[in-house]
Order: sequence, then structure tokens, then C-alpha cells
Amino acid sequence: MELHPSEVTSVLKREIEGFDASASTAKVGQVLQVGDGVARVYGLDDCMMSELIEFPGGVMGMALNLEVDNVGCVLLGDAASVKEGDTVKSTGRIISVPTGDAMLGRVVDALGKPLDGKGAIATTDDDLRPIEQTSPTVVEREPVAEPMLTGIKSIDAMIPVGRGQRELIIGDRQTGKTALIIDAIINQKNSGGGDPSNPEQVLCVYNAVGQKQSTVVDVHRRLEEAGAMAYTIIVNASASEEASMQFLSPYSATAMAERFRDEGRHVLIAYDDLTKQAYAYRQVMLLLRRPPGREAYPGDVFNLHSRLLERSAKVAENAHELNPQKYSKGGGSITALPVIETQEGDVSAYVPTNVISITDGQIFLEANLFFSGVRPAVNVGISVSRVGGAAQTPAMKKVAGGLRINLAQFRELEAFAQFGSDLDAATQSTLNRGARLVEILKQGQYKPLVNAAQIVQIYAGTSGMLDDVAIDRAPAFVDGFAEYMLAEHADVMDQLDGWKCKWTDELRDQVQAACEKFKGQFV
Amino acid sequence: MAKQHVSSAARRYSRALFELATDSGRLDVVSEQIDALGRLADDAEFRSLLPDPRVDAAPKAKAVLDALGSETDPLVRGLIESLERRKRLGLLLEIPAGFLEFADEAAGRLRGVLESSTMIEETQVVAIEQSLASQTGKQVSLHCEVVPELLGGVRVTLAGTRYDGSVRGRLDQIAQRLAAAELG
Repeated sequence: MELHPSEVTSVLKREIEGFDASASTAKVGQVLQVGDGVARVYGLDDCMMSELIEFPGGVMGMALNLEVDNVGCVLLGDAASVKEGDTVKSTGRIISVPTGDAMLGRVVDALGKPLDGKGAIATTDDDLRPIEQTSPTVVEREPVAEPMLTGIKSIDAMIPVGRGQRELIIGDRQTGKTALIIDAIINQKNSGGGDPSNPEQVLCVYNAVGQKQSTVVDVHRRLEEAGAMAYTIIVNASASEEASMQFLSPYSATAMAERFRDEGRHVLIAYDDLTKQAYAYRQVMLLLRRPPGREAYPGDVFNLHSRLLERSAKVAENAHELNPQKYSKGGGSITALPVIETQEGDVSAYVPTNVISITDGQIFLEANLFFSGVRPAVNVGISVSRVGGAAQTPAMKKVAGGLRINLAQFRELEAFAQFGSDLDAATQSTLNRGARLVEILKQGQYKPLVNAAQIVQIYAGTSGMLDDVAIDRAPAFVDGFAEYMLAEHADVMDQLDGWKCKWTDELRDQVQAACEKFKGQFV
Repeated sequence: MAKQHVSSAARRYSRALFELATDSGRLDVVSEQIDALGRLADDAEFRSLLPDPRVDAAPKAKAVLDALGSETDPLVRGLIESLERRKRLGLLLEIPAGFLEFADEAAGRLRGVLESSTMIEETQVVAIEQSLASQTGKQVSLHCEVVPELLGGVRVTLAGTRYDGSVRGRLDQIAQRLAAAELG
């Protein structure tokens, strides 16, 4: 933006002229001790919970412990300029972040300040929202009934996610949890062409908590290359930032998502990951001398996650009539994909069990599946979506209906595969079918598929068309078939992409015929 | 000089002493002696001696009683002996401030700090005290300090609230306004 020197002077003159020279009043206190990102302040008699406190040097703090004779504050910034005896002022504001369309496409920190070097973000004071909000009430909600398509075959077919659902992604380190999220975000381009002003476009928020900076840079680059940054906000609190910023960033990210939800838009938010948020919270609470509980977490670590995830919901169509102050338009939703990292596959540890009981289902990623080549390494047997078929299009529901059972039977019989030809025909065919289904559910990174492509690929598997194709050729077959369908039968694919599309006999026959024709050409 | 932080332990002793002094009608005498104790606490040697764990309680108590003189009120003596028994003589450094807080509260008095860039006249201080008194409904007593970096005007800190009418304060406000100014 080109600035004329005279413009700057005129703005400054305006500010100085309009300056109201009266004495200012502020509530003050004194720093008793400071260290490790935590400060104790004496005074501040009327301090509110989570109030922003201004420390010397422009550092802000948040009041978390209101005790009889002092206030425990967590510092949101570098404490180097704060010393014992310093005077601090209370601001009278609860901690808030900027929200709105101007945030899309940007990388920000837990307080909404830009980190991507692209200049200030054009938000006003009206765009500020407190990071803590109550979640929608029972009457303001609706059951989850629309699909949130991730573009990943194993998820959309067997563990479908709906708009307004919370689906946990849980697994050991390096099992592909972040990769799932990136693919889901990239796939949202199909909802509205990647244009955030299109009301159909699903907006995305990616919250990186405690991650390596290099990982976040990589994610940002991938999303930019795929054209997904236009409708995404990245809220970053990396591993070297203060614990206070790390534990607050999921709430800030949710506040940004809620702004869109309350305007009737659909949002996909991913918290990567909540385990690191729990660590940061534990660190801050131990320094504030709150009594440690199980695994040294404070007693309210469940509430830390439950109050965060309860804000992800499907809002009723008439919510703006029920509560016009909160909702300008009803029907919006926030779909949450929280991530939890387990140690050695232990899903019965404290924080994993907490979050499993909060979410509406979980996607288990297993290391041994990953290393045996099944990627995404989803263990379909124990992964669950508590919304299930209501979050699938009717066509996908019909076609993928038998998939889970087929795979379950295959897994059971896998041990017998070594007997080879000594098995009866039925067992042999189950093994054949199952092996091919496993192959076609494998999917490369950054290649999310549209719903129609998934349906025809899965149909090719479940209908038995692949039974006489070599196992290692099965993925190439289904990929080729999907491309063939898009090229030769675009009208059928358009139909299949529709949300209300039913799997009629007519459609089935058309797809079957096309598949046979493609098979004839396939080498 | 901002309000001294009185720990909760010292606060309990101060309250006990204050209530006993009020009930027995000897508040004035006790207040005077507690003031003397406060002045004692300003002495650097006493300040380092009293909390020192390497010295026994008995010699510390004796040192304090000797410094106070022979006409120590029985209540004050009782306080010192009670602290000696519990080996908490270090609290004597905070008890005068705590006692003063209770005395002020009972008398409806607020103490504050007035900072100005140069020496301010007595009449002006009284005027400010009266104006604050009418606002808060209590007697106001201000301790004056010279802080040259205020550049002009006064800044009063009273009961956890700071009233900033100094030039420095206004310059800071302007600086904040300019930094936040929207261009274009």
C-alpha cells in the first residue's frame, strides 16, 4: 500500500486533535514474584477471572488464580521486562481475539497477531470475540445430518463424519494424523470451488499446538500449493512459545471458527494436537500451584477439553430466531477433528480416555498397519463414527454398506491365508475379495477424492469386478476407472456427487456397464 | 513507596493485636509502640537479624525488647513473646504495616501515595486529599513523593486505584493512540 507522507501527518494530526486530555483511572497492583512465565500480583482487588492484565514493557498477562491476597497471572509474552515490584494495570477486558473474513488465508498466533509477514490484518474492535464462550444450548442445536467429506476413502465409506460432529483422530506418533487433516482441508475445495465468499464453501481452521515450526511451514506450503489457504486460517502456537499461548490457542481458534458458524457458514476445525495442549495446561497449573491430580494434570483437565469441543456443533436452522444476539443466521456448523497422540497405542491412558468420551467417535491409526503399507493406517475394526449413516449420501451408504463386514470377515480369516489352496471356495473368495478391498482403500497423500469417484471405486471392489484382477494391480484399476468415469460418463458422476442421490438400479447398471467396458480396456 | 505486602501470617497477628488493643481501650498506646517497632524495622541490621534462622529466637526477642525500652505495653510484650515461642520473629517486619491497615480501616482512613514531578505545596496536597475524601467517603491521607520523570502534574495511587493526571501519563496515552491509529 503506497502511503503519502502527508497522509500519515494528517492521520496523526487528527489523532492529536481528537485527544481528550483528562486524567486516566486504572486499577493497579504490584508484582510480588515473577518467573517461568507466571507472575504473582499483589492488589488488583476487583480483578475478574481471565482478565487481561497489562505488565510493563507492553507484555500482557491473564489472571487465572484469584486468591485471598494475591492474583496469579500467566504471562502472554516474554517476561524479560517484568521485575518484582513493578506496577501492573488491569484492563477491564476479558481476553479476546480478532475474527472475521480478513483472517482467512493468514497464519496467526494465539492472540490473533499475524505471523506470516503479510502485514496487519484489517479487523476492527467489533470483530473481537472473547476466546471463552458458552456452547450452543440444546434448543439451538440440530442433529448432524449433512456429510463433511474428507476425501479419504476409508473414512468417508466406513467412518463417515458429518457437519457438526467431533471426530477424534488418535494414534501413535508418525502414523499419519496430520496427513489426514491436510487431505480433509484440501478436499473442502470441492465444496465451493475454493472461493471463501461462496456460501457453500466450507471454511477451515488449522490449529497447530506445540508443533515444530518446520512442520507448520510445511503444512502452510502444502495448503498454498493446493489452493486451500484462501479459505483456511492457521492458528499457530509452536513448541518454543510460552505454555500459556499453547494452551490458549485452541480456544482462540474456536472463537475464530464460531464467528463463521454464527453467520450460518460451515467450518472444519482441526486441533493438532490436544495432547500438547494438555501438557502446556499442566505446566501452567503446576507453576500456579494448583494441586496436581492423576498423572500430575490439574483436576479440571477434562473440562479443558470438554468446554472446547462442545463449541463444535450443528446449529439449528432457526437459531437466529431463538437467539438473535448470538446468531445472525442459523444453520451453521463447526466440525472438529481433534488429534490425540498416544504412547505405544495405549488408548486407556488418562487424557485419551477423556477425549474419547467427549467426541462423537474416533479414527484409530495404528503403527503396524502403517508400516505394513496400509496408508491411511486406519484400523477400521475399532474406529467408530457415532453419527454413522446420517452423515453419508444415500448412494455412498448403499454402496459401502457391506464394506465393513467384508473387511471384518477378511481380517478374521487372514491367519488362514497361509494354507493357500487347502481352503474351501467360500473362504478363498472372502480372502480374495478382502485383500483387494484393503488395496483399494489405500490412498496417497494430498490426493483427496470427490464423493462420486469414491463411490465408483468402492463399487468396483464390492461388486466383485476386481476379483479376477491381480491384487497389486487393483489400485491402478480403480484409479483408472474413476478417471474413465469422469471422462466418459461425467453426467453419471455429477449425479452421484449430489447429496440426495440415491443408488438406483439404473445407476448401478450404468456403473456396472462402464466398469465392464473399462475392464476390457485395462491392461 | 507503594503499599507494603503483608503476608497472611503477619496479618493474623496484626488483627489479633488490634482487636485486643481496641477491646482493652489501649489502642493509642499500642499504636505508638507499634509505630516505634516499624521505625525499628527500617534499621538494616534488624531487618537482616530478625528473619535469620541461624540465630535463636530468645536473643532476637531480647534485642527487640531492649530497643523498645522499659515501658512496653503488656500486649506488645505478649506479641513478642508469642512470636518468640513460635520462632516467627521475622513477622515483626510486616506486623506494623498490617496493624496500620486495620487501624486505618477501623478509623475510616485511606492511605495513598501522591507522586509529583516537583515538591508540591501543603495546601495543594490538602485540596487533593479533600477531593478524594468526598469521592471515597473516607478520610484520605497522602504520602508525597517526588518523581521527576512525571514531567508535570500529579499521580495518586489510593486503595488499588491509580489516578493519573501527570504529563507523562498523557504522553503515554497519546503514544498509544498514535501507535494504534488507522492509516488510510
